[in-house]
Amino acid sequence: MAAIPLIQPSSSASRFSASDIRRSIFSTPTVDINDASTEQDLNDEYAGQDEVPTLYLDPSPIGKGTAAESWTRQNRTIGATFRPSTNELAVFVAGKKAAEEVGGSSVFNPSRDMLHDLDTTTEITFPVKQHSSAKDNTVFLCQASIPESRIPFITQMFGIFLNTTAKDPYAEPEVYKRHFDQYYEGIQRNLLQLYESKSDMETAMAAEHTQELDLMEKLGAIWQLAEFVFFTGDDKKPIAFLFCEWLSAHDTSFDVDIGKTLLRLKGRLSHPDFWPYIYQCLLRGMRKSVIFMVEQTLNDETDEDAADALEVFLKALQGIPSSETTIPDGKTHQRHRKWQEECLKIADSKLLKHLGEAAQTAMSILIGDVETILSVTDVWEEAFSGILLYTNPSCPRYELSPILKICSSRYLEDTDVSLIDRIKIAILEMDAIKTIRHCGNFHPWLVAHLADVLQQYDYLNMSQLQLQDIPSMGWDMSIRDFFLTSYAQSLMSNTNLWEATAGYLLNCGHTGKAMLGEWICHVPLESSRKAHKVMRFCKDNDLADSLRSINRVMAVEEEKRGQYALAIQHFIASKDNDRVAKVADDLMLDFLQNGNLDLQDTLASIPNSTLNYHVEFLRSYARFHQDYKNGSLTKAGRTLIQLMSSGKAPTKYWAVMLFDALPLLENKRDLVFDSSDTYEMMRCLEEVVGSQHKVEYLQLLSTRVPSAAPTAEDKEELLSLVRLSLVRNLARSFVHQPRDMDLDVAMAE
Amino acid sequence: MARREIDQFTTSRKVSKVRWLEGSIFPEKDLHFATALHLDGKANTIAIWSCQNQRQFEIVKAEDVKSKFKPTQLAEAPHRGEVLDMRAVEIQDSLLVTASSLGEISLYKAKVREGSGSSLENVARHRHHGFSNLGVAEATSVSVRPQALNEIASVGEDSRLVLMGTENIQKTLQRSDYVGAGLTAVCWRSSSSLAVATKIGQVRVFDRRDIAKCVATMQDPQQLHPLTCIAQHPVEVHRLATGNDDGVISIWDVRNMSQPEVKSVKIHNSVVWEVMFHPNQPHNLISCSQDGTLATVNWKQAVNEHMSDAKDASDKHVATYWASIRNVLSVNSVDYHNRANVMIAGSDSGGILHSVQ
Repeated sequence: MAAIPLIQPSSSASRFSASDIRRSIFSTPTVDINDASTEQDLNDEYAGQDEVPTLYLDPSPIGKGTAAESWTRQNRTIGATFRPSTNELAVFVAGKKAAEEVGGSSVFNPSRDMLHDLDTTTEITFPVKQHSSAKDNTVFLCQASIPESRIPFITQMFGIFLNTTAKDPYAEPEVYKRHFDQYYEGIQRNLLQLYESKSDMETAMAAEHTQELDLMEKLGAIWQLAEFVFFTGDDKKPIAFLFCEWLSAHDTSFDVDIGKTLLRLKGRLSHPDFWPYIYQCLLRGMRKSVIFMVEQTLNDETDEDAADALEVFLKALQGIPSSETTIPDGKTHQRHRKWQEECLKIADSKLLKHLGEAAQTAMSILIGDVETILSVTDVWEEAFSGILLYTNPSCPRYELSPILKICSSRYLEDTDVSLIDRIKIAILEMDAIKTIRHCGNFHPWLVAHLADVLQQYDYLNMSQLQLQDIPSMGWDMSIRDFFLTSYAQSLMSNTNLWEATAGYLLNCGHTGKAMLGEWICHVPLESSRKAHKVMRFCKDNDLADSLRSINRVMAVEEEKRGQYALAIQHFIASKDNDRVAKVADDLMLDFLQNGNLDLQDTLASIPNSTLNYHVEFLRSYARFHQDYKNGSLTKAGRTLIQLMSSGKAPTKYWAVMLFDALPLLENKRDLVFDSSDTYEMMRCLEEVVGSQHKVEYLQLLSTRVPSAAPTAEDKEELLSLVRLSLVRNLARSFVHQPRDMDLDVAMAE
Repeated sequence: MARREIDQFTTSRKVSKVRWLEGSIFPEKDLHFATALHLDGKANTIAIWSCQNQRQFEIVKAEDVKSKFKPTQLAEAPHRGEVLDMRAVEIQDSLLVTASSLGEISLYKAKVREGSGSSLENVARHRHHGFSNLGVAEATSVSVRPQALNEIASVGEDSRLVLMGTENIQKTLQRSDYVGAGLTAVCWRSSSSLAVATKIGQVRVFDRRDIAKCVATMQDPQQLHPLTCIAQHPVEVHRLATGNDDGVISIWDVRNMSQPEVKSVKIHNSVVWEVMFHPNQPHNLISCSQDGTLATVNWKQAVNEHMSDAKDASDKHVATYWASIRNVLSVNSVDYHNRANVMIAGSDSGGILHSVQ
């Protein structure tokens, strides 16, 4: 059935899955793939290939479960654009034919541009009336999912990035180098783990695993080449030898087993693979290997003439430039010329002719004959290495362009030059911008980290750049920040990597921090521990607005769970005083309606240091009840009076509080309130009764009336009781002195 | 700050807890440990691992050890919710007790065998923590009664301390009243007394015979930050250690519970996730933190010299910090093998950190 080959992304980006994609701030709606009902055979151009990247989107302009046939009838084409720097894909309805064109009687032959799974002979009739849908104006964004096996690599690289980016390679080169070396070591370590886990891989995962291996190998190759060219001084080792090292480590086109096979053979000199093997070794600067092979051949050789020729050839080989022999003393070039003159003599000698034309070719390579070098290899890297090694082994790295030109004119004239080759060429040209531009099309990790290091080494100094070389991307930040931000965006699809995402954004100047502030509020908080970590991150990095926003979200969640104390704490932290008041009201109402709620215990979770008007009121009110329960009537009364007279208690609670004061007023043993207290309470009572909000104030009294549905009269009756009690207390206060509070406390104890 | 490099093995998931399995049944040449692994929002698992006891064979240099820690995963089992605490109990086979973000206490049986016979299975699970409105409350910590090993204490976000039997975790033996401060950690002080840490910086002590009411509530007036972990001194019953969310470690002398002596030192730059007394050198504390480091601190010296902060402690050689160059994320858990003298820790970068002491 239906498959929608929307794009053919790079190998690194070919596995898209939206089941994990939730968090990109751009990726509303998310993408879901693997819908068996929408599978389709691939276009002919992919026929015969083992695996073609396919992508299934849901939601998408097409919609889940839509058969390609019905989609085609809707007269829509689909467009997609892939952004490699963030591994993002935008899919949209690209256009539709006008109704006139596809009118009722018109016949449409689906073309390759249109999405279809139909046989090309099928004719489709479009409906005359075409309705536009909301999907026509929607751009669907999705991100490539990150394989689980890459997560350790990403987190480790993040650690190395943090250690490296803060350091100056010129101020503290040793320390910087130690951390910088971790990048390549990290790639190698990850590769090793991938190789180790390959054996026990299930078939289903094998494809993903192979892709991952391929990606890591390429990343390792590019990173090391960039390290050799951009970040290693000529004084340490000439680039010619570093390039040979790099070639041995990363170019797998050279088969070492040929050498082993040859060594096992007798009469290997006449073996067709012997001289090609020698040429490859020579071009790759594998001095020891070629000398060993020739020595062994010499030992086994029975023909005296051939043996003599081999001996002469071996003598020439001894002088092949190597990092050991090329000492930076200024005389390297002279020594090299001298050796090549000797080689020339050997090449011209009759003795060598016993080895045939092939040996002459080998000698031509040693002499540095460019045409010969170009003729013996099909791999441009080998040719480059050979020309560099035998024409100018001490060539400084910023003078490689002439040699590159020779190679590219021979091997890379084709328009179909692979991206990897373009990156390698850009690196060897020491063109930082071109390198970054091509790497940007390859992988977000590579370009971000390379840009960071290049910036540190001042290769990306904006003032020295010709800006027209940079594609206009509409960004107002440095190249480094742009690609680091893009990389961080590519990580947003995996919430497990929130620390790394946040860490990268934090190191991307103002824009990165602004983006971080927006994004971190959307990190899902599955557990309190994670919430703690996210909030701590915000606190440590001065993300006050985000912290407030997260606190607000947490508060609402806690409020929903009925955890009023926690909700209050979060609302206080989010400086949302109105919501604190609302939750405090809910808590108070809960307390008034539910006698079992221990207000003081609930409030105990809120640290005493928390200063908030509403919390203070609740605490005091809880203390009043506690004191009353403990028999400290005077203390309880004092608290109540203070709450009402100071205005700490909202007016709506006055009626309830006055009612709460009844047992104290009616207390026959001691006088709790003096005359001024009583006057104050009377004032409060009158304010309640005379207020236009009286009905609302009396509403809360319902909790104090025994009947299930108290009427207005019942509530009025309660107030009358309070009024009567206040008058009685006033009369008593004129006669008796109120009880000393300390004595009261002592009695209670 | 003086930092020592620590070896790291990397997994693809975050390591929220690590615990050594120190049962005598295991051959000495191999060490075993358990980890709680998770990916945010999904795939919470418990796994048991085997690694070579490097000390058994040779005295190894630190740099040699570096590349030698390659544990092998023996078995893995799914876990409901994120593991917020885990303890190992050695009764016949190893038992692992876990506290989950769903308020459940679970029991796993770990069978470690030579070759391929190892297994890990969930044998019991029960929800002990929840809010009165039936909302989910996280079980934040568990602790197994020392010596007898017959009881498990757990605390939760619901501010309750619960006692249950190891043999039958479904049965609640005792439950405390609502303490009202959000409990974050629990430890047994002795087989008859428990201490818990709260979100408002308090240490509360309970008598096992009746945990309904707490015996004492103590607080350091200088430190009002939420406590995140608590540990009991292996010898001195009156000595407790706590860590808080500001990187401070406090040593409590609770002989006089109405006026406890508390000494605090800021050792870390962020939340202290776990603290433990060194089992063989109890004058040292081991802690791990969100700042990505492990620390071993001579707390006696730190307290006597009135260290002001982590840098001070490091400069005066009172604290040693351990970190991996490859990990900058939170170190969530630490444990020490008291016979093999090996420290192990787990981090958010998926690293299992390992150091032979």
